[in-house]
Amino acid sequence: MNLPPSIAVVIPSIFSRFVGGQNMIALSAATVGDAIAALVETNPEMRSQLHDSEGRLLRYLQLFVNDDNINDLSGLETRLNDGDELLLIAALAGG
Amino acid sequence: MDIIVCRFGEERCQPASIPSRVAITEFYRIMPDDLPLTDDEVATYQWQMWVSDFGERGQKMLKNASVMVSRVGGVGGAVAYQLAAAGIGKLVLAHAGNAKPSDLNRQLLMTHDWIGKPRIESIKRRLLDLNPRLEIVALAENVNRENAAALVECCDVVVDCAPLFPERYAMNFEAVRQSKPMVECAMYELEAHITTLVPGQTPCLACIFPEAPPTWKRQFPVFGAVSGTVGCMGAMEAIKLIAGIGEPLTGRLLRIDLRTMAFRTLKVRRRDDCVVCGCQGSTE
Repeated sequence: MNLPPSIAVVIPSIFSRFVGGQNMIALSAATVGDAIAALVETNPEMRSQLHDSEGRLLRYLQLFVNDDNINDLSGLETRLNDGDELLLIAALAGG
Repeated sequence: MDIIVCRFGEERCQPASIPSRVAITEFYRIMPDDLPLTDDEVATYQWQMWVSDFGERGQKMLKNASVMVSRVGGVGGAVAYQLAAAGIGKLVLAHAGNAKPSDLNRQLLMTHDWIGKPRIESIKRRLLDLNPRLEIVALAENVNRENAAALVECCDVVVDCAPLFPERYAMNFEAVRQSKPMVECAMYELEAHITTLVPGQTPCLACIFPEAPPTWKRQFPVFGAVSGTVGCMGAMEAIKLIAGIGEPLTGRLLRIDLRTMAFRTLKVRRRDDCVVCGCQGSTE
């Protein structure tokens, strides 16, 4: 049986306190949706940062696989490959 | 050219007559360059006029242009200072409150001897020390839904450096409504985002981030070296837009991580269902 691809999730510093101060998390996931689910499973405080009460991704977030927006790919169904980076980009307003 | 009396001061507002839904290439062409450079200006800006695609024409365009910057703190102060240094003709500035000790790690237009006094006065004083030719429209308020229209009306380009999302969304709404380009500069800790928004051509702020993070706080971790980096880059985006040089970050979000020195350029798109610009211009 093939293992899911090994990828890295790039965590913006605005979320680092919810993931033990990490700015990158390695995990295995076949799709973007699986990666988000794995991230939340191991870091439960991330759930409320990523999802609304009905489980939808919050709209102050954009997700990119490498440099491609998942909205230009297959959304949460986008398949991942070994070595991919999943970027969480959250709206910032520091000025 | 239209003359609009700005309610924020005795200065005249002379925005370029930018047609609605202007294409970015058209924006370069309609930027006026009719005010000649004085000998003093030529002496001051000679080194940047050596930039081959900028030259004297680009300098005249800067002289004839006006840029709104708000707020004028860690990021916006660097934007305003660099634009003043570069010879921008007019700055439209909005920033409320009095200077505090905690401003001084990053807000380079504030000084220790000004603590307790209005920030906007220090901003004007410091900018005019650098460039006494600069015309300044200064407002001792932060941007809100009531004053955004008049402020944006006074400028050719907006640079958004506000620390709160309602201010950012107010500037975005008016920039879209008045078809003014807006350079979006934002940071947190050692990370930053920059993108250039052109109504009708690129996503607006609400396309990229339709909602503000519910947990965003007015106070955030910041080194002046980070906000200054973002501000210098935002100023360069404004210069490129006005002079028509280089490739502005249109349709692209530059994500900067100064902790790792990783710079990534990410493609961003318009949303057909955007509540601010969804029915404007063509969708990329």
